[in-house]
Amino acid sequence: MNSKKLLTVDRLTWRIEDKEILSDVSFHINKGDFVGLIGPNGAGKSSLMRCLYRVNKPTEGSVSFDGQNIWQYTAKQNAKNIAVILQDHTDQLGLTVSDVISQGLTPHKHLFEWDTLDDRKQIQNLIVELDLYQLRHSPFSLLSGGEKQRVMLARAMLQNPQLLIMDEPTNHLDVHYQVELLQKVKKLDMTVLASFHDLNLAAAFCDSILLIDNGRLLTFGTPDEVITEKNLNEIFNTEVVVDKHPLYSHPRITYAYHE
Amino acid sequence: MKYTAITNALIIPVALVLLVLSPLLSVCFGAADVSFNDVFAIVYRALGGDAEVDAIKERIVLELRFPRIILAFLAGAGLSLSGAVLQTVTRNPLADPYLFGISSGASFGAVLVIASVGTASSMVSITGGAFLGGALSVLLVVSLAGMGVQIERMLLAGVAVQFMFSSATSLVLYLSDPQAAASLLFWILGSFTRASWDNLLLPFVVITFCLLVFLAFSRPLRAILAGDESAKALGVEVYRLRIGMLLLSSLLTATLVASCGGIGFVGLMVPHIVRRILINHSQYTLIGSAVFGGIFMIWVDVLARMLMENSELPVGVITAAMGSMFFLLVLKRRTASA
Amino acid sequence: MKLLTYILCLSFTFASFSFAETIQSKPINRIIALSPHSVEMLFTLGVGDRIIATTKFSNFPPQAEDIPRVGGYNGIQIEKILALNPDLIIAWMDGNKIQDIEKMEKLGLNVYRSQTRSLDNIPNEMILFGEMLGVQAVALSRANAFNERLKKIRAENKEKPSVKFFYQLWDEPLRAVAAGSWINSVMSACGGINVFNDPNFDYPEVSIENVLITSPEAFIIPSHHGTYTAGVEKWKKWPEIPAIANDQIYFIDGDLLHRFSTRILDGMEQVCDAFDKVRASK
Repeated sequence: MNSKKLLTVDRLTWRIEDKEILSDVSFHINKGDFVGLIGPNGAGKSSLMRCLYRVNKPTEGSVSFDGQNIWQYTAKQNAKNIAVILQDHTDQLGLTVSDVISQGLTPHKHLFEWDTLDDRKQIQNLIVELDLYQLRHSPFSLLSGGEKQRVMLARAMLQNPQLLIMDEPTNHLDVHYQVELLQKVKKLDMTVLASFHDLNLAAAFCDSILLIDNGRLLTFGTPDEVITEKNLNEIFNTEVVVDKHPLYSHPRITYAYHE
Repeated sequence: MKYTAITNALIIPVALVLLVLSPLLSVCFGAADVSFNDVFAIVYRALGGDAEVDAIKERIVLELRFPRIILAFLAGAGLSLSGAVLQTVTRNPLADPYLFGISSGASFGAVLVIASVGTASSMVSITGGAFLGGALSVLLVVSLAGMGVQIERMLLAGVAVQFMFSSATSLVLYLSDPQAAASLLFWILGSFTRASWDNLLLPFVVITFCLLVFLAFSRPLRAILAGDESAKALGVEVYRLRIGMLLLSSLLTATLVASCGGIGFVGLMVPHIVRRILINHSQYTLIGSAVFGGIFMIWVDVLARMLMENSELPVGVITAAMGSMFFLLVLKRRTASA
Repeated sequence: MKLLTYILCLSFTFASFSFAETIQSKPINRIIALSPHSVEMLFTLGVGDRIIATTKFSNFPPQAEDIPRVGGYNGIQIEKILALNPDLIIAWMDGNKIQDIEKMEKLGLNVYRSQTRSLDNIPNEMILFGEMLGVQAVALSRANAFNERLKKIRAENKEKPSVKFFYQLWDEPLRAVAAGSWINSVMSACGGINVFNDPNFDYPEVSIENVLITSPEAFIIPSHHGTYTAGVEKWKKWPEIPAIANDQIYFIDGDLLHRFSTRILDGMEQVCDAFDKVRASK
């Protein structure tokens, strides 16, 4: 397994208007890993991710990609390295599915560089691969949640980054689409960092998991190491039972619902 | 609406046909009686061929009507282009050059020159006034709303600036005597009667330049539609792009207002409609807006000179009437689909 | 009982009549003239010294410049007018805002609504002012002089061949005075025929082409408050227009053509002179 450090976060602190949202966060992601990010609402998951794709600038500490501080790359270079899939989408003002997917080429093209035939072919392939052929000329805004996420994934794949960051990608999706999306992502030759609300999904798909609370990184390790009854009871303030999933080797979380 | 391969394939040839035919057909319309045969002969002769033409008709067509048609095309293309870019960069389908106060600022600048200098004001000084007014309005919007970070702030600032200049213009109008007020109304309502071969160069150069820049940035512009954060993640310098496009749009709009007065609604309607028709070729929204906007304006100008018996209607009045109908239609569609 | 009521009503009516007469025959010494033309007219009648206030642009005769102003095109300062306690206000139906006129009437001021829309009304109004201001003799004489002069001009020009003219009211945008406007009556008295004769639009906005196809033989260009709009440079390019080819472009003081005063006949004579020159050049 290639254990090259792709993304390194070193003592990252992020403050805004005297409020410290992230405190002294340090971790690294190895190439090829599928890393999950979990924590209660308000823990700072989105804020942390925003520091990784340069929307937030760290107040202290650094974020490095492939050994170099991300703020030393240009915006375009960063976009070639890292792609992002967010949970909320704009209506893309009338763009069709093909057009939205083609946005993935943005970091790879100069001004005045049109789409080549190869590009078109690539886009077509992705459309077919992600089962979007019927929808390729539809306005993006008319798609369902699941369909939109597939489009976003196609765009990210066209962007062809080394690291894919996903901010709660399964939030608005039906179970079928949640599983389908994550299965597809897992198969990609990309390093992935994704935040999750659903702990079972995190446990099922991630090679390692980051657990944060109140802006601090509490623990980072394999699902078995991180997803323990002790951790979950404390952090999520809820009674859980953690055992092994009957079909696979990863942990399964069962919630206690009744008094 | 179903967009099939057939409709897509048709749009471009239809546009080209309209583009070629419109100037030739529209030039037949005007106070003087000029038939299509006359036009054909005149154009043929102008291109070096041998044809019998009536001297005065030739002069009317070549010196009065053709420059007008070109100016109308440039104005329609430029305003639509400006609107298309503003709508994209603010992700708001209701944005247009007026919304950012550019048109009202430029109108105010022109009006101020006419009102203060009076009957002796020259075209150069009025154009300069329009530029300064437009520039002032952009400066105000930027200083009120910051460097393109928040779209809502920009839009609100634009509306505020627009109202401010409109009321200032109304004040100037109110304080002028009737003849000057009538002259000022020209700037506010727009007209192509002043078109001549020597005042076409500036709008042409500015529009071509802006079009090229917009085309160069068409990919980042498309990316910005994904949202500010997503666009950044795609490598776009979002805030710089937004401000840059706003400034360029302002340059474009101010140039046009200085040449033709304030023509409203075109920058709003045309990109809106084009986006629906050309929905499959969104990378051509810019060119499509320019082409259809230009063709549209050519025919609006035909109406301006034909609706009244041997006199002119201001173009802005016609576009305003169309604009209100357009809004009603949009509203109707929205309520129907809701 | 009925008879008593009847007598009471009758006496009341008589009383109010005499009261009204008293009001009317009260001497009018403080006049506010709300238009340049009424100022001119009052000076013509020799009662210019009774004018205590007027509006902007009242510049003739020169003494009128010294009269204090209480407004202009955009409105009248009614408070000032009240403070001045006038005996008569001469309002101008086309030039003053109707709301201002109505307000002054409601405040109980003595307002006369002047509406001179034709040349023949000018002497009529002079006579009316003569009555109101106690200078009937002067008014009658001036009115007769006006009518005589007008008759003479009309007679002199009746048989002359007509002249097609374009009256360029404004330059940017190009605006004409058309046949329906009262200003046109000045030109028609001299035998002029306006090339723009749509009865629905008295002041149409036109293009060069519109003028071109009407082939006017003369251009009349008035000044506005002393200045002429940008020159005729753009017309020089169109010798197809007879007026341009033959250089029959006449600049005339707008105050003499746009005001309902006796000086309109001065303007008329200048126009007739111009048309004579046009006829001679043909």
